[in-house]
Amino acid sequence: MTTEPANKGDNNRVNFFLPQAGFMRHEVRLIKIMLAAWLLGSFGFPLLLADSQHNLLGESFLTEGNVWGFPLHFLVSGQGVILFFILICFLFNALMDMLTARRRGRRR
Amino acid sequence: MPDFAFKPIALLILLAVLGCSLLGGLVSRARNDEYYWVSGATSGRAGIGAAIASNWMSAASFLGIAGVFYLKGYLGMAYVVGWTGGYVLLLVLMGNQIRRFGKYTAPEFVEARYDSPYARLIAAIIAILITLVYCTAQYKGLGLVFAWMFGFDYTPSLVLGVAVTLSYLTIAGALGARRKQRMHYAVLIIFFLLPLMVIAYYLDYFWLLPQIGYGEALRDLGRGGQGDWMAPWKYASVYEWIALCFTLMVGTAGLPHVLTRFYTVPNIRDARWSVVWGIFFIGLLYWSAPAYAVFAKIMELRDGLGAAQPADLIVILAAERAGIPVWAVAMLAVGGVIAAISTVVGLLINGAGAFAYDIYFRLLKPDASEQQQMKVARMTTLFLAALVVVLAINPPGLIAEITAVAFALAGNTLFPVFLLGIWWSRANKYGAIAGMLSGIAITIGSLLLAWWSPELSRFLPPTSSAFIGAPVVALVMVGVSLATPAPPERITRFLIEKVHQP
Repeated sequence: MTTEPANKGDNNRVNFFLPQAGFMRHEVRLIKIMLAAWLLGSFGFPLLLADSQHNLLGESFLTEGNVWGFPLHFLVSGQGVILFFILICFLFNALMDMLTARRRGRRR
Repeated sequence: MPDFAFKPIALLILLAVLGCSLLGGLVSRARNDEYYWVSGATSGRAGIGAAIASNWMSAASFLGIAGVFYLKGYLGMAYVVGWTGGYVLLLVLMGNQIRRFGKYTAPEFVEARYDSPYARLIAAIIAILITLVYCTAQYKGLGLVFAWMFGFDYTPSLVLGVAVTLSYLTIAGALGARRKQRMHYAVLIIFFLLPLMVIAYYLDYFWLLPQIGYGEALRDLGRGGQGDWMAPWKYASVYEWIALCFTLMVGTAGLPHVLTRFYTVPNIRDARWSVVWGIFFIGLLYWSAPAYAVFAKIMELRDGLGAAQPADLIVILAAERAGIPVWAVAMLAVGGVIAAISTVVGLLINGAGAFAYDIYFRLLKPDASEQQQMKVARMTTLFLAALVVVLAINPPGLIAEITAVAFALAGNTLFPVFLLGIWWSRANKYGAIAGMLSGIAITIGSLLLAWWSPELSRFLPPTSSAFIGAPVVALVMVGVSLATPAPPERITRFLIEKVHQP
């Protein structure tokens, strides 16, 4: 085991915002895309609701629209978002599988 | 609380389910002798997903969420989105890396990554605190349902519920029965969905898929002058909604017992894919939970009934008021009880393990024998169980709200410690210790704030403190880490060579 001290200023050998070239950079790019989708799915809709509201209760065209009787915000938050989350996880896993397969192939 | 009558059929169903679960556990023990609660060999990704879901579903999901919907309308959706999105965050941001790191309990991870027994001690204390808060919510559910089942007052029902839980734990442990995760999930989801279909049928809504059928009920509520209840910010502002949702997500990604279950899977690909199934199986319950509250509202509208009390039992009370057969109502009560019991048992074992192993064995008495450790673990289980009874006698909020406080604590402490531990090699033990301590302070501070100034508490609600807390704690960790020496080279190496390689 090596015991030499870490170089000074060498603070970022693992840093999410400064990933090292190679696998880590690919992985971080994938994570960032999926996190963006996750943020949008989780908080994008409530922010949109707040942005389009025409009274303090938050009522707007989004709460008046009707699908199968549902006001739109119940349908989106109560049903759609969960499906969207499942989709994100599915895509993440599929792309992650591709990434590791490519990486392993290159190593051999 | 109103007076309830004794329901013999509910007791029969409960005994039958507990008996079958013990029997099933015994049969599978014959095939393979793994330790009772920690592991359960499940085959196939869907099977592992069901195990994740069964481990997840507590009284908060089974009873609590519908209660929040009933009282606070759209705010309930913050729970639905938060408790599913948390798994996405965990999977995408840290799942692969924690898995490659190879330490699955919070104290173990903290010691391995930060190289400090003190950091481990704090992490173990946090795990125990989370257990206490989380169990308090479960006990409340248990007490309420037992009160409904037997017709006792709340406090005796609570004590009875705890006695049943501990005896079940003892019997299962003595017989060496294994926990059947998939069967457990199947029972829970059937006991939740079937009564809902019956209610929808009785109320003349589309009963085959009540998750869709309650849309018509929402329309009827709107026409009946109940539109306000549905309005997005009627009971909470958009800030409160988002803060709660965020807190539940980072809490999920930091909860010790979620992490443990998440990674007791043979290989990393199966672990990843099983999460997709896990969210789907959890989703089945969350797609349906709002329907109970909506149907309860509809009956108030139709029959001019007063509000149902207590709101945490709305799942059961909605069924009762709809006049569905008593066995179907009893299924809901039994489902709530077994969800609570299994969660409590898992948590108590986790919490007792954190004390017996991480504190007693690793710090106080390193030469303790395995038997001594077991003895300490058993005594801690009893002690924690008794402590929670005291906390649960006067529960301070709804089941889901109490649970959310446990998530806030996890999100304020363990989440930043995991996140920076994985994604920033410069994070060191001083940063971790300062971060965890400030996270505990923020959580306790939010509770004091709620008591001291309800007005200010709207900015830092106890249920939602991680929205501000988690970023603040991360900043504290960064600042303190940069001001103190870098962690040992071998840890950085390990991160680069093991944790961030496929």
